[in-house]
Amino acid sequence: MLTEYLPIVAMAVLAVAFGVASLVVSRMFRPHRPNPVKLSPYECGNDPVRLPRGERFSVKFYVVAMLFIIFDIEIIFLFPWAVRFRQLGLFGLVEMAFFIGLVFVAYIYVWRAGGLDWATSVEAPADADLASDSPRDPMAAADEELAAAMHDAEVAGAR
Amino acid sequence: MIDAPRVELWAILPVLMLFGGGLIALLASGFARRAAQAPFALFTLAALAAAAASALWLWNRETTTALEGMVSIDRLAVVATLALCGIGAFGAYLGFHYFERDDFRRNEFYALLLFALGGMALLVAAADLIVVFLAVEVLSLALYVMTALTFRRGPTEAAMKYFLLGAFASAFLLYGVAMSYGASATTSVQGLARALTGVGGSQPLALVGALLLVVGLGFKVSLVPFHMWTPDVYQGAPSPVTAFMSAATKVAVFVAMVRVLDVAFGSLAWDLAPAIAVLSAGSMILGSVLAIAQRDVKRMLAYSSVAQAGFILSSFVSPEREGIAAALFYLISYSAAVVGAFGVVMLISGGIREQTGFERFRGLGRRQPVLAALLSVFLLSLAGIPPTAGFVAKVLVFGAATSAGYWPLVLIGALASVAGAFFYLRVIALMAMQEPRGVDIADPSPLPRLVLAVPAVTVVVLGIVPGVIVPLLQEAGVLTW
Amino acid sequence: MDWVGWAILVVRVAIVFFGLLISVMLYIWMERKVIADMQTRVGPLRAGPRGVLITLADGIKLFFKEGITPTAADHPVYAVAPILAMFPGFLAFCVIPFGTSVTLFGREIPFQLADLNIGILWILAMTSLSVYGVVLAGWSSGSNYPLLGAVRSSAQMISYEVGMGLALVAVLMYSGTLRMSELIAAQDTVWNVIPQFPAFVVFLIGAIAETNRPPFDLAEAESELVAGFHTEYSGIKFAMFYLGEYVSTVTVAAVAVTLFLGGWRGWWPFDGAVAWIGPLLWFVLKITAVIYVLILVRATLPRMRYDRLMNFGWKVLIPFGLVWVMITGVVVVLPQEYGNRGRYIAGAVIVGAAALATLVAPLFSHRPASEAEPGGQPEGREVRA
Repeated sequence: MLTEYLPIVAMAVLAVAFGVASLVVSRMFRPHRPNPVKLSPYECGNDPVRLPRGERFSVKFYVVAMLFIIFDIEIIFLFPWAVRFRQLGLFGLVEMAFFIGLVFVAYIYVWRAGGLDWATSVEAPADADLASDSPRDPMAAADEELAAAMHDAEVAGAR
Repeated sequence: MIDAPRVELWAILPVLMLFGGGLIALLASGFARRAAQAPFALFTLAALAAAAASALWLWNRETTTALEGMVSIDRLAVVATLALCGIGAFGAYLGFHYFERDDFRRNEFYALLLFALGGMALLVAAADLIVVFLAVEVLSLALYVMTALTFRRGPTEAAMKYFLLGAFASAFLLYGVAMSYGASATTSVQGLARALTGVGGSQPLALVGALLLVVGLGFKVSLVPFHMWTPDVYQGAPSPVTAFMSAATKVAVFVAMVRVLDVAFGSLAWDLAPAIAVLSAGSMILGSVLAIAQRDVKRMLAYSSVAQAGFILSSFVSPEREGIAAALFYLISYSAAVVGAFGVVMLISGGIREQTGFERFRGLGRRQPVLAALLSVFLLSLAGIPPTAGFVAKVLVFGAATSAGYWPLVLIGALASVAGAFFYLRVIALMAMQEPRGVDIADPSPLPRLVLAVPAVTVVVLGIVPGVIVPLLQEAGVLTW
Repeated sequence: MDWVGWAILVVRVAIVFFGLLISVMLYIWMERKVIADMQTRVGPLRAGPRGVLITLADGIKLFFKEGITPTAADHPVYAVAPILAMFPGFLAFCVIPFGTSVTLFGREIPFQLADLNIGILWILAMTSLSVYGVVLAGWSSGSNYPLLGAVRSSAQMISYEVGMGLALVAVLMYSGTLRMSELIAAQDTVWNVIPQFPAFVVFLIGAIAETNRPPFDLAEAESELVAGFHTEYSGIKFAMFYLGEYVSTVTVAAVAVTLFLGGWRGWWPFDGAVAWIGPLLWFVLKITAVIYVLILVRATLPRMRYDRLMNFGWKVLIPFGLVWVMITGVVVVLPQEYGNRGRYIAGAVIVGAAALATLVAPLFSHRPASEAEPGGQPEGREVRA
C-alpha cells in the first residue's frame, strides 16, 4: 500500500522545506561582506598551492568500493532468507551456508592478496613494470633495434 | 514449510568439478601466490580430468533438463565439455610454461582458468537464457582478469578494452533476454521454442530479442560488427591466455548459439537466417582482408579468428542436424589449430615481453625446424588446405550452408578462404624461404614441443580420417527436446 | 482520507519533526554537560537554566552569521549538500514506533509515522543516503581538506555499513519480520539484546561509524583535516550539517532501541486515560541511555587511525558478522528440525567451527603482502587517505 508512505513524503517535504527556508531566511538577515581572502579555499592561512580538479585518488578507494558492492549484495541476498529462514529450514540453512562459504573463500583470497590492507599498497608489482615499460634487459633492447632496422630496410625496399 | 526444490546437482557435475577446483585453487593461491606453480598446474589438470570424466558419465543419460529446467543434459553439452576440458588442459600447460620460463608467478591463473572453464561448461549446458547470461558473465570476468594477468602495459590496456566493450555487449545480451521474455513470457529455451512455434504472422518482439542475443553472443566470438576488441585483446593478452580464450570461448558460445538459435528461436529460422548470413559473410570477408594487412602474427591470427567465426556461423543458416555437427567439427578442428598456433607463437616470442612481429618468424625453418613445422601444420589447417582438419571442416560447413540454399554465402566463403590462404601461406613462406636475422630468442625446451605435437597430430588425423568423430558429433547434434 | 485524516497526518509529522529538533537540542546539551563532567569542567551554564538552551543560542548565532561560498565551489551542489546531509535522519525516524497509540477524535493514532513492511530496509537505505551529503559537500567545496575528508569518510561509511547490515540480518533471523511493529511484538518476552548481544555490539559500532561520531569521526578529524568535509561551510549551512549529524545519532539510537532493547516496552503496566505515556517515556528513557553510552564512548576513546579503522571494519566486523549470522542460523534451525538432539548438534557445530577458526587464525595474523615480496613496499609507510 503506497498510502503507507504518505507520512514519509510529508516528512521529506517538511525537512526539505525547513532546510530551504532556513537557507533563504538566513540569507535575508545575515551580513554579506565578501572579500577575496575570505572567499579563497581554506588552507590554514596559506595561499592554496593547488586546488583539487580532476583529482585521482588512491586505487584503494576503488578496491573498497568494489568490495563493498560484493558484500552489500551478499547482504541483500541474506535479507529475504533471514525473514523466511525458519520456514526454509535445514535446506535453506545449508544453501545459505554454502553461499556464505563461497563469498568467504573470495574474502580470504582478498585478505591474503592484501586487498584489505590499508597501510601497504594493494599490489606491489615489483616484478611487473607497469610504470616503465622501457627495455631493461640487453636482449630485448637488441631485438627492438633489430625490429627498427628491419622496418627501415623494408621501407627502403619499398622505394 | 516451504518445499525445497529438487536439487539435481549431478546434472551439472562437470561444472561443479570445475568451479570446485577453481575455488580450491583460489584459496590456495591466496596462501601461495608466489610459490611454486607446479602443484597448481597438476591440480588444474586433475580437476579437468575429473570434469571430463563426469561429463562422460553423463553421456548415456536420458536427454532432459534438470534444476527446474535451467540446464540440459544431452550429448551436445557432453561433447562440448570434453572439448573445453581438452582446451583447458593445453591452456593450463602453456600458462605453466609461460610463467615458469620467466619465473613470473601468478598462481591465480589456474583459479581463473578453472572459473572460466566452469562458466563455459555451464554455458554449453544452459537451457535457460538467464543461465546463458550468468555463464557468459562468469567466463568473461575470468577472461578479463586473465588478460591483464602479467600487469604489463599492453595486457592491462587490452583487458580494459575487453572489459568495457564486454560490459557493453552484456547489456545487449540482457536486453535480448528481456525482449525474448516479453515475446514469450518465459526465459527457458524449451519454453521459448514452445511459445514461438505455431504462432502465425511475424513476431517482431521475438525477432528483436533473438537479434540482440546474437549481438551479445556474437561479441564474445568476435563476429564482424562486434569484432573491434579482438585484435587488441588477442595481441595484448599473454599468449597462453590468447590460445585458451580464442578456442574455448568460441566452442562455448557457439554451442550456446546452437541452443538459442536452433532450438529456442528455431521456428524463426527463416527470418533469422538472412541476418546470420550477413554477419557470417561480413566476418569472413573483413577478417580475411584485414588479416592480410597485419605485420604481427598474433594480430594476424586474431583477424583470422574473426574470419573463422564467420565460417562457423555460416553453418547456422541450416538448422538441420548436419549443420550442428558441422559446426561442432569445425569448432574442434579450429580449436586444435588455434591453440597450437598460439602455443608455438608463445614459444617463439621469447618471454613475457612478447615479440610477435613478422621479423621473429623470418627463417625460423632453419633455426627451429620443429616449431616451424608445427606452426605450418596449424596454419595450413586454419587455411583449410588438405589433408588437415580445417579442409574437412570447411567442406562440412559449406555443405550445410549449401543444403540450406545459401550458395552465395558459400561462394563468399570460398573466396575468403582463398584470401585467407594468402596470409597463412605468407607466414609459412617467411619461415621457410628467408634468412634468419637477429638473435634467436625462441624457447629451446623440448617438452612444450612434444605437447604441441598433440594438437598437430589431432589436426592431421581428423583431416585424413574425419570419420573417427563425425558420427559422434552427429549423435551430439540431435537435439530432441 | 477526509480532512481530519489529513490534518492528523500533518500534525503527526510536524510533532515528530519538531520533537526530533527539540531532542537534538537537548542531547547536544547533554553531551556537552557529560563530556564536561568527564573532563572536570562545568560546561555550558549561561543560556537558560544550567545552560540547557545553549544549542538554541548556538543555532541563532549561526543563523545570523555570514555564509561564505568559496569562489572555487560548485555552487548548486554546495548549497544542496547540507540539506542532503540533514534529511536522511528525519526520514529514517519515520518508521520507528515510539509508543503505542492514542485515540483522539474517535480515531486511533499510532505512535509511528509509517509502519512499512520493509522497515529495516528503509532504515538501511536512509542511513546509506547520508554518504551523499558528505561526499557532495566535500567534492563541491573545491578545496583540499574537504575533498580528502569526504573521500575517506565515504570509504569508512560504506565499509561499516556492511557490518551493520550483517548485524541487522541476525536480528531479522531472530524475529522473522522486517516490520518494525512486529519486531517489537516479537520482543515481548525477551529483548533481542540478550540472545543477540554480539549483533548489538556490531550494530552499535557500525552505527557510530555511520554517523561519523567519535572515535570514528575521521571525516572531520580536526588534527589533520581542519574540519573535514565541512571545512568550507559556515553559518546556517554548517548548522545543518551539525543538525543532520545529531538527528542521525538520535535516529540510530532509536533504531538500536527498537531492534535490540524492546522498543517502547517497559515494566510498569499503565492503563486508564494516559496509557500511552508509559511506553513513550520508556522509549525516551532507552534512547537517552543509548545516547549516554555513545557520549561515554566519545569522551573515553581517542580517534582511531584511518588504517586501523578500515582494518577493523573489514577484518573484524565483517567476518564476525558473517559467522554470527551462521551461528544464529544453526542455533535456531537445528533444534527446530531435530528437537532436543538438535541442540547438541548445534553446540557441536559451533564448538567445531570455533576450533577451526582458532586453527586457521594464525594464517592471517601477519601481513602477507610484505612477507612474500622482499621488493614490496616497506611496512609502516605513512598513511595517506
